[in-house]
Amino acid sequence: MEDRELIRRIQNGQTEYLNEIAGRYYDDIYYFCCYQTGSREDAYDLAQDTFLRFIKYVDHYQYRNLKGYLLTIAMNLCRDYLRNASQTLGRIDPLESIEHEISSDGADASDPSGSTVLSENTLLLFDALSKLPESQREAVLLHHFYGYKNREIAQMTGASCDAVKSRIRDGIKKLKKLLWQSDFTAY
Amino acid sequence: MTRPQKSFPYKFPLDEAKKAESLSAIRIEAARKRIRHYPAFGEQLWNQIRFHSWKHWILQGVLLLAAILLVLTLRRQHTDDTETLAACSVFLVVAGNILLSHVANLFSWHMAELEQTLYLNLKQMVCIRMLEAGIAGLIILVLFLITTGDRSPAGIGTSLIYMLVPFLWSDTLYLHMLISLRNASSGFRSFALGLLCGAPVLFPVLWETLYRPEYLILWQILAVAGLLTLAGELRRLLGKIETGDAICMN
Repeated sequence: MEDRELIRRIQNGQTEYLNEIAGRYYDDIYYFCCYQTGSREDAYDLAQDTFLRFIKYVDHYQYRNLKGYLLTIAMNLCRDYLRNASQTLGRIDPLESIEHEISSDGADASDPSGSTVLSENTLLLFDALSKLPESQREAVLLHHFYGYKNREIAQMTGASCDAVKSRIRDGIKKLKKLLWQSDFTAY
Repeated sequence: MTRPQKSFPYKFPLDEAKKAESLSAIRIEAARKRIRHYPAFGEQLWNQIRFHSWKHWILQGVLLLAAILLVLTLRRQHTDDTETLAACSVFLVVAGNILLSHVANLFSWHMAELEQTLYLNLKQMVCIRMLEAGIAGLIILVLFLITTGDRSPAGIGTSLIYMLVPFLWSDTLYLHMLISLRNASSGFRSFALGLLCGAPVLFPVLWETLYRPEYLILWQILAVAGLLTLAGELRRLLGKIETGDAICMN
């Protein structure tokens, strides 16, 4: 069923379809929160809060781009999270926190054949992304990993199109440099 | 890293137990959720329009018809520009205040109690009614501009200012009196008040020299001042409603 139809049914009172939306987009939102905050644990809570907030305001929602809307909610939650985290905990070390988790989880379930390379690359990318400024990381993730256009990111982030363009350019430049310094292998 | 990738390949496995826990919390919230219907602004406007009485529609029709008749008469008689402007200004002011008098009905006694039983609050209703009055006024204004403007943008602009200034000031005055003299804001009295507030338009009619090009700057200043005063008056009105000031407390 298409997103538009799901929203129409939900707004007509069939709230059970909210679960279908959560099931469909949970992973995307989770990975976004994870890469954005650098905390694999807290990303579960942030993804959950994203859907809870969506449920709260679904009555007012006017359908355009559901995934984009959910990512915008997630982005705002991540911003709050990072603001609070920087005030209370200081800088989070994502590499340290995720390294142990990946090694204990073992191979990447999505691709068992190249699991070792993938896990290492994931770690390196995760670490490199965490070294980018928040706004650049946000723009790079949305553009290169989620396929959004500059104009769409500008709408989602509230920044100008030019600002988004420069954030992506600077972010990618920095990311390439960081990955080149590490042993990242293009996969 | 190629563009655009819908799903990026560098993922690590999700903890299925935690994901299930999260989805379960979402499921509970979804089951609790009660959907409320929030109509879009267009729908609200349409709902309001449906509840207007037939008298209101007749009044609107009569005003529009009178405007058309005035335009046709002025064209047929080849009236000179100054007289055309003066006639259109007077008509616009009177029509504007008659249209605005419909807003005054909302400030009748016991409206605040009645409001509690309605879907829209007083502020929304006032905004919708003012919007309706504005749209109707705009239609008449466009009709007059077509008649009076000399087709060039400058000519249309000048005519617009000549007609807008009395309209703005009389509307502002009317609005001010509606807010200040609440006792007078019902039925025939509000209608009479509207006509009284149209009096400022008579000044340029009496002193036609005011339509000379050298006084245009004065009209422009008055137009800007009128717009600012009207904005202030609207703000004051909406603020009074918001804070439950005397205007809607019985």
